[in-house]
Amino acid sequence: MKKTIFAAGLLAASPLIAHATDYSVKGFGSLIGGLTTDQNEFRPHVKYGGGKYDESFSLDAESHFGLQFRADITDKLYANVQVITRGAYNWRPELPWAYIGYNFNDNIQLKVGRLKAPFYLYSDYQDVGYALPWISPPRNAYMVPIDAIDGVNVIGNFSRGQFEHVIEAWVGHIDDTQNKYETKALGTEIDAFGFSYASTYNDWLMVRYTYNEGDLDLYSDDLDQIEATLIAVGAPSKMIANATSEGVRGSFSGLALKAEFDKLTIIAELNQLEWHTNIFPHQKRAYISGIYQATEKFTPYITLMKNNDSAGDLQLTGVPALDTSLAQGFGASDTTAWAIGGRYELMPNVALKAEYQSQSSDAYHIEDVSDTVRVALDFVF
Amino acid sequence: MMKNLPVFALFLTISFTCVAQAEVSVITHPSNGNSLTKTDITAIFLGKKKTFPDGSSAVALVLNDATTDEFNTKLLGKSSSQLKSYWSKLVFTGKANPPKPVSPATMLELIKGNPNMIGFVDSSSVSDGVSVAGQF
Repeated sequence: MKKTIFAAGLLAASPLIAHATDYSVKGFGSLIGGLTTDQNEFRPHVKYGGGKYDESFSLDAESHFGLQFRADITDKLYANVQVITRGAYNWRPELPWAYIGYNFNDNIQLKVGRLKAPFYLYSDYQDVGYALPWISPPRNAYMVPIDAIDGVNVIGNFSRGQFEHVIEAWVGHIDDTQNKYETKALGTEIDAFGFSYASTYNDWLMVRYTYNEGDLDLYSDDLDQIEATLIAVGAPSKMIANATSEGVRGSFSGLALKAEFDKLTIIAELNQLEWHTNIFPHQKRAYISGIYQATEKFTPYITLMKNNDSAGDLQLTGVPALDTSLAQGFGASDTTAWAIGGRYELMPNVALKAEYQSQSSDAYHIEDVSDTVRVALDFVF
Repeated sequence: MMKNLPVFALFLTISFTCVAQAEVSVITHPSNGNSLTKTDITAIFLGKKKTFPDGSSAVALVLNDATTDEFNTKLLGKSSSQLKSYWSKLVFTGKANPPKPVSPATMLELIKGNPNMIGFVDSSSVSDGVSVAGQF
């Protein structure tokens, strides 16, 4: 009976709704432009493929647009599909989300289909610039190249007194179609699972921990070629083969903290990516950001970032030129960066942002500095 | 100077009328027996809860006029762009859609006809057939 009334109510509410299934189409976009102020190139994120900034102003490196279709089939069951297109991938459409969701009740939600792996604090809406204080989350710490999983995700949330807890668990298959599309020469497949636990105290202090693990199958023409070169000079032949062989285990773990004071918000993440092989570096990445609500419309921020990537037990060949390239490609590196920027509410659904970032890295005693200026127009509709 | 005083007084009156905030009444169907705290109402309008305390499903509606800004500031403690940003997070991860905006007349009609709906109107517009769950 209540259902009928509900349906009738919705009918009355919107002449566009033909029957009880409620459809919605919503969109978002970020037009991001930037350039480096020195002679170096800057690659904004491993996810952005070939996208990079240099001395000439570029809009292609990070700009992206998304459309989302949602159908509420019943009050518990719904389908959700999101399409994103990025300049860095020649505007080819991607499907970060395409799933069927079921809300058992207010506390337990299930999703099955194409999902985003919830690695980071801002994984879920990483691409929705409008929902973020920055132009993009501090990219150094968002280092896993692929995050599209085909699988199952369960979220449970419950509150006790002043505490609100959220537990999320997922299991699935990661097929790096993105890279496959770019070049047939590189591909990865990972069977993986993960979970996260977040606890918020009194709406102001949140702590989140996540652990994810997977077995990687990697094939790469480039790595095969390096392997052939190494064998030719008599280097330990298993070095690369170990990495490209099937089932290399990797893990990603992260700790995040968010504290919201009256006008100041502090956000920090410490993320770690490790591979149980001797070729990929172990990546330990962190950032801390302070965001200040200066006026109702203007929120400046400052972010400090640090990378500490240590080499696995990389075996050197004794051929200096080769060892230098190996160490640069797979060895240890230290990177520090800082960024200063701000967000201005242009309209209720449009935000304007600007950021200056300075990064210096030291890989195999080669220092590299790049300074980047970026501006962004984020919108939702 | 003195002869300008009435004009000045009138100006002040107008300014104060504009600045003075109207009272918002949260309304439900008269058969809805739930006693709702401010926390309950906030949770429903922020998409955190989709049920009333008694377990029946709750569908929130908002107004397509300035009363909604008033409601957002007073109850939800968010400016319109903060709220837009909040909903973007939920919408683009598929977690929830924001409440549908309707006109004040439609709001009253819908609430009168549906025990599952919850909405709000300017307190001066409250009519028979709806019950007031709280005034803010």
